[in-house]
Amino acid sequence: MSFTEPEFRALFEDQRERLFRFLVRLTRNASDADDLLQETFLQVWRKRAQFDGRGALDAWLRRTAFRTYLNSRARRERRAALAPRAHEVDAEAPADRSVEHRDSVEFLSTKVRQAVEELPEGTREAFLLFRYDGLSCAEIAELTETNVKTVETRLLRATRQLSERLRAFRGSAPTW
Amino acid sequence: MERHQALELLRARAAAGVDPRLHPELRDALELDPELRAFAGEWGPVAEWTAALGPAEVESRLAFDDVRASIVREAHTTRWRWRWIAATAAAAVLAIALAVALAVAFAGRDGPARNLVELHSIALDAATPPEPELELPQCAASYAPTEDGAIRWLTNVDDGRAIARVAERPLLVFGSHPTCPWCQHMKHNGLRDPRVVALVDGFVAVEVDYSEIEPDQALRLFESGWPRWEIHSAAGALEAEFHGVHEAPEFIATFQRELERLSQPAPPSWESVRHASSEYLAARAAEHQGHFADAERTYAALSRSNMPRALGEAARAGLARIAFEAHRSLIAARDSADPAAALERALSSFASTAFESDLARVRQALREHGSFPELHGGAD
Repeated sequence: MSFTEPEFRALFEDQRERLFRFLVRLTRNASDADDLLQETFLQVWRKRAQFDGRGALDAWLRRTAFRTYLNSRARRERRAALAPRAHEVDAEAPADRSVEHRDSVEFLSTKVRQAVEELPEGTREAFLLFRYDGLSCAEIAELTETNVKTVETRLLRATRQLSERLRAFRGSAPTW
Repeated sequence: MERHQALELLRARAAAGVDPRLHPELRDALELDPELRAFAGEWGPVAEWTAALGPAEVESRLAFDDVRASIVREAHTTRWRWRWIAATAAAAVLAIALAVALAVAFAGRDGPARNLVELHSIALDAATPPEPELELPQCAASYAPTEDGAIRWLTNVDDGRAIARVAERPLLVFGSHPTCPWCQHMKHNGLRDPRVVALVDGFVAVEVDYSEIEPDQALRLFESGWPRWEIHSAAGALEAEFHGVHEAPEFIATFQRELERLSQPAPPSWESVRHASSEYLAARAAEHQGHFADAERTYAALSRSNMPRALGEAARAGLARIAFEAHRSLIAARDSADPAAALERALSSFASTAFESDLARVRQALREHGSFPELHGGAD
């Protein structure tokens, strides 16, 4: 199977937002997600002849986007190994927030986001794919190139860790 | 029940707000697996907490044109990378040849001076006949499919084919007859519709007057229906044919569909097609008149710009023909009864070209030794 340019344009318009949301969750940054989205569609165009049309197009696109993200993550990790990480300290929220502030939706949503972001990378990815993309454990294992047992362990660990981190805020779930 | 199946069931049950213990197999699994039991208790709150973590409020700013631009850029970079590799390889071969030539020259320093000329530009083994030139009509230098809001029809299909190939656009052939009322109706109605005119700007348009072709052929075409339409790809393949009167909306839909189907990504602008065609025609005329320096300069510029691609290829073929002609002139001079006079004529023809210095060194050797030199090396 291959695409003509008009078909490729239609595919892009149809899938852009879905893949963008998928990538934003993984990268935590809209600008990075747009870069990866462009790289993803470039890969799709390069490999258009390889898609045999037998599998689901959605799954193929998601797989391509996820591999693009993994490559970008590997590049980032290589750079980070060579550079100081002072900026990561700045990203921490101040510890002495007032009680009023603690109750604000903004504060709570930040805490939830931080709790997810502080999960180990593979665990966070498994949780995001399970929680937001509705993938099965087998699909996550295939996408992340690991086995189903590892995915199960990561999901159990992610849920336990998030539950412990957020236990203090139970009863005041953010309504955003 | 496998643990991963239980995890997926727990997720689904939490989303639906159903107690997982109502599922008998799941209840058994929960009793046997304490970690799974912990998950069952924690997943609901965690899912609730993270419900709106997704970036629903952010939208992608990426446009399809950005993707297309990166595809075009990548194709261009790849092309140039291969050219760079080829050029580097050629330079390496040349450097080795030069080193060998120097070694040979130094080795023979103590012996009698040899009557030998090392050629740098003229290929001694240029036995391959050059490619024929691209037939491009003179009208290509000024062609536009529409002008002042009207379609500007070419009248020769071969001219249309040549321009379509260079312009990387499909060819539209409109077959009509002066006595055909439907043809005249279309000419005065559908073909004047501004939307049709705008679409035809993406084609190379040719009108064939059936009163000017063989009567038998016109009759056969009449039986298949007038007016007759054909759409050919830029490469010359017949892609669609239809006949009869088409009013504008139906016509527009057909044209648009075929145009989208047959369009090539990023074809050259009409302005660049006209400019490059004009340059190519001038270079070809200079080549025919034996003004090789002018032809070589213009062909080289077209080859470098490579836009349109067909003219880039035609220009490279033109350079190859000039190189072949230089080779032929040198060999003819060597085999001539009066090599000095033949060399003078060749030098006059190839003055200011890449081959002039080779011919001048041969002439110099001929003058010094009184005989035609032995020829070595040469470009390939």
